[in-house]
Parts: sequence; structure tokens; C-alpha cells
Amino acid sequence: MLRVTLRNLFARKVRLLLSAFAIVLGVAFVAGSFVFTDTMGSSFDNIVNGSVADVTVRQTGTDPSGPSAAIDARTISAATVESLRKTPGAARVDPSVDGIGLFVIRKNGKLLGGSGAPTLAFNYTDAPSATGNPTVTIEKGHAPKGSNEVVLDARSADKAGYRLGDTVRMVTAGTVPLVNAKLVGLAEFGGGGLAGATLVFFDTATAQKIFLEGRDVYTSVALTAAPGVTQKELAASTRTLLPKGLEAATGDKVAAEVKSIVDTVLGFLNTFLLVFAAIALVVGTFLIINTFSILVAQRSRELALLRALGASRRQVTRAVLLEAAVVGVIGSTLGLFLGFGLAAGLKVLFATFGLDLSGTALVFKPRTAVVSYAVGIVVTLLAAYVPARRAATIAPVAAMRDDIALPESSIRRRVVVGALVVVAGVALLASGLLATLDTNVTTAMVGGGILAVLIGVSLLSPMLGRPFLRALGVVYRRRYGTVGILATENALRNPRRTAATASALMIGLALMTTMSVLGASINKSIDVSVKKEFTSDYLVSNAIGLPFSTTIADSIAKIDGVGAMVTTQSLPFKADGDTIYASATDSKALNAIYSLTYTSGSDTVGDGQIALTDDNAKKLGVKVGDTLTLTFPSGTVKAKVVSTYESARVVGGAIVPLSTVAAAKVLRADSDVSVNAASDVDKVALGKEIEAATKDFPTVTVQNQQEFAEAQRAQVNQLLYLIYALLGLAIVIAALGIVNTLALSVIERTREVGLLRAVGMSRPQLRRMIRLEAIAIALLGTVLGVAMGILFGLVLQRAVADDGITDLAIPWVRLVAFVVVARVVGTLAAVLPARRAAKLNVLNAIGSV
Amino acid sequence: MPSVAARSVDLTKTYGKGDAQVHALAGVSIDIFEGQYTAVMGPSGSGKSTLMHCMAALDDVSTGHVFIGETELSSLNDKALTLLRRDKIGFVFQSFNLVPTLTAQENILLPLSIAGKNPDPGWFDQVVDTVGLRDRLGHRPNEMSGGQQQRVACARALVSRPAIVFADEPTGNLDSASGAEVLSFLRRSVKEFGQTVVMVTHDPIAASYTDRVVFLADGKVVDELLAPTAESVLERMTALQARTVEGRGF
Repeated sequence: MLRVTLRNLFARKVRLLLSAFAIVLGVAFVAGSFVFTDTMGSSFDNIVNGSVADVTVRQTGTDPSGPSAAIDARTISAATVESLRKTPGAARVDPSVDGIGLFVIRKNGKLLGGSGAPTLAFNYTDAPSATGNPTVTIEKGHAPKGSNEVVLDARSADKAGYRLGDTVRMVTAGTVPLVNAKLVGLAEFGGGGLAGATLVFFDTATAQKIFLEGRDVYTSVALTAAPGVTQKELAASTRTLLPKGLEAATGDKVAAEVKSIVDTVLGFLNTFLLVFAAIALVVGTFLIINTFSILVAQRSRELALLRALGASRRQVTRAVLLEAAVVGVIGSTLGLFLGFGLAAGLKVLFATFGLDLSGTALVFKPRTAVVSYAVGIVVTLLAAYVPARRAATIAPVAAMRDDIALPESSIRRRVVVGALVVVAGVALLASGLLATLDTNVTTAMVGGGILAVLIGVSLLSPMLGRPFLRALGVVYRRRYGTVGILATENALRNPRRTAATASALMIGLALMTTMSVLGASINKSIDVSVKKEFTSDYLVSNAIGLPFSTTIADSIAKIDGVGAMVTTQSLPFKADGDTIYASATDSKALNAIYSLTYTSGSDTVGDGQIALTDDNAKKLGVKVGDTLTLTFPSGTVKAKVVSTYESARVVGGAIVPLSTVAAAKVLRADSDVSVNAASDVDKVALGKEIEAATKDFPTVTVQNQQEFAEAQRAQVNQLLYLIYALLGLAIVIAALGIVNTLALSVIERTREVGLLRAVGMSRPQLRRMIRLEAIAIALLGTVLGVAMGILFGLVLQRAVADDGITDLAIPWVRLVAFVVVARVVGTLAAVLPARRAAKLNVLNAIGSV
Repeated sequence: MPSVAARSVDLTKTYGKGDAQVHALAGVSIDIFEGQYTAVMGPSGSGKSTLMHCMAALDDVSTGHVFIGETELSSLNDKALTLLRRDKIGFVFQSFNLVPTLTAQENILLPLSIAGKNPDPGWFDQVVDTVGLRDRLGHRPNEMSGGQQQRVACARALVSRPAIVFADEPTGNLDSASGAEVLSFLRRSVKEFGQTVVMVTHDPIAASYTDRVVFLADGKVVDELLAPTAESVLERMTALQARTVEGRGF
């Protein structure tokens, strides 16, 4: 029995490969996700391990996982550093000046890094990391000395186009907004690759001048243990010398803190990628079910012969399942290899976004192989189970008959189950939307509802497809005559097969449509709210929300023709465990430009006061007059709630006075500057002047209302296109499904094809017949998918209406484009099967059984 | 003398190369006359099916010529052959070969609708009534008996008024009663409509329905019989069989 099965399998290599292809793609995605995130993880591990000291003295409350929009302004005095030099067990003590908010400007004037990996600035020391090796070594040139010298890591210098001796331009968020220094050395990081991060080194005095207003203070202190002293022992002896407000953390602890953040981010990325892998596999399941159903149908005479020769039902079922297992193993193996390729591709892709992993080899963990094989084989076996069971129902006597039809079970049961699942799904969607429940519960209900509707409609599709194909048949008949009728009849001939093929495409398109509707709704909501709220003429801001120097606002204020103007600084704090991004600003100046709707209390926020959005006030359970404790890394600040206002895109979730920045011990830096033209000034000319005033700072952009909305939309669209690209995989698999179904149908109908040719059908007519069938399948899947996608989009928009996506938009043009693309997919899918059918020799075709 | 509907001249068909070479047809020259019912008979392997395939433009020839009417087939490309099959030739196969998704009527009209031509309603009615399928027109092949399916196939072959109908063992898959129906239908089509029919068969009774029997052996025309009866055909066949066996040295 085993030998018969394997013979069969290898006698049909092409079919085997076609059905394995869905598994290959799905598994490749799974393996690629794991390999890539493992590689990123290992790269970051090296960075972390290569950069932490045995013991780090830092400010208490330092939270590496906290929001990064604010820069801690607390420092360590030189006196404290001196006292730490006497720490028992410390081989060396290196005070450190860590600068954030500095960016290198490339030789061509553009920003280096930007939205990608960060730029980290330090005072240069040759201190070793916890690994014992120096954290950085100067590869070329020499260490920076004096205010006019800088050292960059070699890769970044190369990327920015600087060579030794060049003058490097840099911008900072501090009081020295522009720094020019000569590149005197190229550094190499001890931990290997930097994942695209940029390292900038000054001597200690220069770093203090740039980042700490020239005071002789430090941001942290690195202690290196003497031989034989453990990290814990050194940390303990350090603690005895520390003043209040400072803490000593072992290298292991700091590394663990950073790793947990990295792991969280990588976990998200991995999950994100695996979701698309899952979608691809679900779609692939349809393909496999179909392939095996057709293969079983075609081989029914042979299987009947096995039964007639004494094979039991179980043996027949097992034979088919064994075939599936072999397909699964081969598919998974190929998928695993392709996954490596995919991971390498992702590496390149991420490098273009600034996350350069070229210093790290791809990491392959045994777990990746185990998961890949498990997923590939289990999915194939599950998909083949139903066809395998049907194979066993073939009666032995069928071997003697000429024309064999597999016993078709009625689709009534399927329709009933499908209808029930759809009803349950709709009920879930409705109750998720209408009931006021916890957000997580709502999300789960809506998600479950969508899944149920998708499955239900897939089950119902043989029934739903009939009227659609009949209607399409009328069009076909009118336009293509008999060829059109034959194509329609062929599509209707095996409703399950057509439906399963179409369902694969349906799922991909339902998800694409859902995302399109959501994306369009988000964009429309942005437009509506920007039009309503964005009442300033110009907004100067950083594209990725990083703070910039307040000197920029100062120089804008000096421009003639500037009317009202307000600066805000994003200042995150925690209250009741939630992080709220407050806008620290002068509320009077803010109200002069923006007309916020204050729902209660005063529109002026003074020292020691705070205004909250209605949502945040509700979430925190406070009202005007209550006192709220704001938790910053440096400690807590109390503030009295003076008003509440409606959420708006132009301000954060709370408004606090600028004095809160100092109270929170955060460096003062602007997040955005809003500017109105004076009444009699040409706005366009003013815009040009603001541009000119900020031209040295590629960190900031000047936008008017339209540009601001466009920039916001661009972010949404970028994500949308990424999701399209990932869902494209599912579409490709679905298209392969059409190819597969048609190819196998052509084989199955060989004799019929021969007959049609014999009675005078030309090759072009025959190809058209097959093409029309493919287009019919593709359109069926697309129309069902788009219809469901619109429904899901509608539901999701309602579900998140409270989160700012207030307006529904359905991108009809794009949806029509999907249908057009599906038509093209159908046409392309038909190319090979049609060519094959047209090539059939008429005599042989008629003679074959 | 009636005019010639189809003709083969020194037709050879060779399969394989060198030592493995097989001459399925070793120089066949034959005229098929218009309005005649011709049977091609011969023992297994005599080349009768190959001859029919070559003359019906289903297979290409090794050497020699085939004419349908005045048209020489070897000068035609695939497209022209397709058109020739569609417009000039009708087929009846041993295994009925109907399109399962189409009704009897749609199957009958298939060659015309593929060609994009409108059927002549009077002719269609006449054909349908002759084959006696009036009440089955809306049925699909799987709702009909084998005899009925073969009558649909015959009607399909006639409806486009082809110059010549080729029938390959049309009764091979039928019981004798159904077979007789089909044979008398083909007989009537020749007698009443003046249709030219060529039938390959190995059944002497089937051959007795025809006007003329051509005997083939080892790829050559060896004998011919006009106004055959089942007995006379059987007699010739037996003689032929014996001669063939002798000739081969048994």
C-alpha cells in the first residue's frame, strides 16, 4: 500500500508541486518571520551586551521602557563622581555624558537616521563593557579632543558621506542648536553591528557644553569591577556611597531591562508577520482541499481497484493522508529554505528604513524548523482529511465502470451549518457594536464575528456562487455565445470546487477591502478634523515627534509678519498606570490660535494646574477641582484639574503649563511651533521666510494645513500599502489555486476538450472558454470578498469611532480597481491551463478515459 | 457514376522508426462516393481506424494525399483544418462523447453554435424527428440511455449538413436493439437526405446496412463488396482472416 501511494505521488510531480506550493509560501512566511526576528534579537543582544558596564550609576526611576519624547534633565555632580572613584572593588570609574536629540546631517544636507535607528552621542572613554572588551575602539584617526573634534562610527560616517578631516554638521535639541566639528576618528563598536544606530563621540567638556549647558555634571557613571569582584558585589559597595536620588544597577539588570523592551517590540513584529503567515496558510488550506478532492476524483477508478483488490476503507484513507503528509514535508522543507530568503529580503528592506542588520548573520534556531514543519504538515493533513474520507466511500465496483462519479454528498448540511455560522457571526458583530463593554471584549467580539462570517460565507459559497455565475453566464452568453455558455456551465459543474477556489481569493480580498475602508475612513477623519481644528497658518514640527531646540522658535519669533505664535512640548506622564502625552504650553497663546472646545472649567491653565480631555478625565475619574498626581521618572508633581476639553489632533491628552517641564526635571525642548501670520501679511511669503529660518535644521518641517493633512495621510497610506503587500501573498496563493483547479479540470475533461476540438472549436475559442471560467471564479471570489470587506470595514469603523475615526469613507475607485485586478488575475491564472488544453492532441484526447 | 466526396491517394501512415517501424497504412487509395453509405472493415490492426482518422482530418499522414471534396488536407494549417472539421465533417464516436453540462438540444447544436451559425429550423426538426428525440431535447446526457446518447451524437453530426459523416464503431458500446436503431438512422440519412457516411466497423451485421464495404488488411485495401448482406460480409471476412494468417506465415 505504501509503495502504491509513493509511486502515485512521484508519478505526478507537477501536481504535487502545485499543491505543495501553498504550503511552501505559508511556511516560508512563518520561518522567515522567526529567522528575521531571531536575527534582530541576536543583533540587539550583542548591542546590549557590548554596551552595558559592570555597574551603572543612574537616576532613580530611570525607565528605559518609558516614553522617549522627554529627555531627563537630572544630572550627577562632579563631586559625586569624585566620591565614587573611591568605591571598593572598582577597577575604574568613567563618568558619562549621554546626549539625546542630536542628529548628524549628511554631506548632502539630509538628515542621517531620522525615523530609523537612533543617534546616540557620548563623551568618548575607552572604558570596557561588562564583556571585558572596550565598548568602542578608535579604528582610524584618534579620539576627539577639544570642542572642534568629533568621532563617528565608521559605518555611519560612510553613510553620511564624511571622511576623516571633513567638517561634520549636527543639530541638537538643546541650547546649542547647531554643532560643527571636524571628523578626527572612526570608531568601531565592540558589540558588532549597530543595527543602523549612529554613534557620535566628543570629549567630555564638549559633550557637557552641548548637552548640559557647560556645567561640570554627568548623566550617568560606569563602574568596572576589579578582577574577582562580581557585578553584585560592586553594586553593593557602590550603593553605600550614593547620595539620594541615584541608584546603582548591575550590568545584568540593565541588559535585562533593555532586552525586555526589545523582546516586546520584536514580539509585536513577529506576531504581525505571523498573522499574515496564518492568512496565507488559511488560504492555502482551500487550495490543498481542492487539489486533493480533484486528485481523488480523478483517481477514483484506481482507488476503487485497490478496494476491489481487498484494501480496506481505512487503508484508502490512510493512503491519501500519507500522500498529504509527504506533500506537507516537501512543502515545509522548501518553505523553510524560502523563509531564509525571505528573512534576507526583510533584512535588506529594513536596512532601507534605517535598521541596518548587515553586521549580523541570519540566526536559525531549532524552534524555527520545528514550528515550520509542524505547521506545514498539520495544515496539509487537516486540509486533506475530508477528501481522504471521501476517497474511502468509493465502491469497489466502480473499478469496472466506465464513467465514475464520486458520490456527492448533498450540500444541504453545509448550507445549514454555513447559515448558522453566519448568523452567529453577525450576532457577535452586532452585540460587539451595540453593547457598551470593555474595549478588549468588544475587540474580541468584533474579531470573532468577522472570522465567523468569513467561514460561514465560505461554507455558503457553493450556494451563493450559483446566482452570481448564472448572472455572469447571461453576460457571457451575450458576448461570447456558446463558448460563454460552456465556460459558465463548467464553472457551475462542480459548485464546491468553484466555491473553494473562489473562497481563497475571497478571504484575501475581504481583508484588503476591510483595510481599504478603514484606511479611507482614517484619512477622511484626519481631513475633517484637520480642517476643523488646524487653524494656524503654519506648523513647525518634527516628522517623528522628536523634540527640537527652543532656539528655533526664538528665531521664528524674530521674523517680521509673525502674528500669534505658540510652542508646545510633549510631556508624557503616568497617572493611574496610563501614560498620557500632555502638551506643555502657554495656554493663553494656545487659545489665541486654536479654538479648543472646553466642556467645563476655565480655558487658562496656570502653574500647578492641568486641563484634561474629556476621555482622559473620564478614564481617570477626575473632574474640575480635583487634584491629580502626575508621575514622572524624576518623581511626582501634583496638579489641580482646572478644565476639560474635547479631544483634538492639535494638542495632547492634557494641557500643562511650561513650568511643569522644569518641575518634572525634563529638558526643555519644543515638539511643535504653531505660527499665524499677522493680519496684513502675505501668508505664502511668510511661509518661505519660516522655511528659510529653519533651513539649517533638517529635523523640522514647516507645514500648512494641507501639507499637515497630507503628511498624516501619508503615514496611514504607508501602513496600508505594507498591509496590501503582505496580503498580496494570500492573493498569489489564491491565484495559484485557480491555476491548479483549472489545470486539474482540464486533465479531468480531456476527452471533452478533444470532442470540442473535433466538432470544430478552434484553439483560440478553447483558450477563451478556459479563460472565461477562470475569470468567472476570480470575479466570484472578488465580489464576495469586496462585499464582505465593506461590511467589515463599516463595522470596524463604528467600533473605533470613539478613537478618532469618526467618519466613514468607502474608497469605491480602489474597490473597483480590486475587481479589475481580479479579472486580470483570472486571465493570468488561465494562461497555462488554457495553453495545455489547446495543445491536446484531438485523437488522443478523445481516446483517453 | 456518382461524384467523389472524399479520396485518399497512396496514403501511408508510419509509426516509430528503424526496426520498430510499423506501417499502419501501406499505400491506401480509396474513393468515397457522394450519397453512399460506405463501411470500412478489416481484422484488428488492419488500419481501418487509422484510415478514418487520416481521412477525417484528425490525424496527419506520412505520405500520400487526402482530399475532402476538392481540398487537399496536407496543404492546410491547424486553423484551416479546424474550420474544415467544423464545416465539412461530422463525427460519431464509439463512446458517445457528449458534453455533460449541455442538454441534448445544446449538444446537437454545438458545432453550429461554435461556428456562430444559426441552425436551419426545418432541418433541425427533420433531424430530430428522424432520430426520434423530440421528447428528450431538454435532457442532459446522464439522463439518457446509451442508445439515446448515440442518437444525439448522430443528430449532432448531421445538423450542420456536413459533406461527409465519419462514424467510428458507432454501435460498439450499444446493445443490439439500440445498435439497430442507430444503424437504420444512418441508413435513412443516406437514403432520404443523400448524406455521405463512412463507418468503420468489425460487425458484419452493421456492415449489412451499407451500400458498399471496403476490406482492409495489413494497411492495404484488399477487397470490396457492393450491396452487402451479413452473410456475404461474414464470408469475405472469414476468407480474409484466413488469408492474412496464411500470409503472415502461420
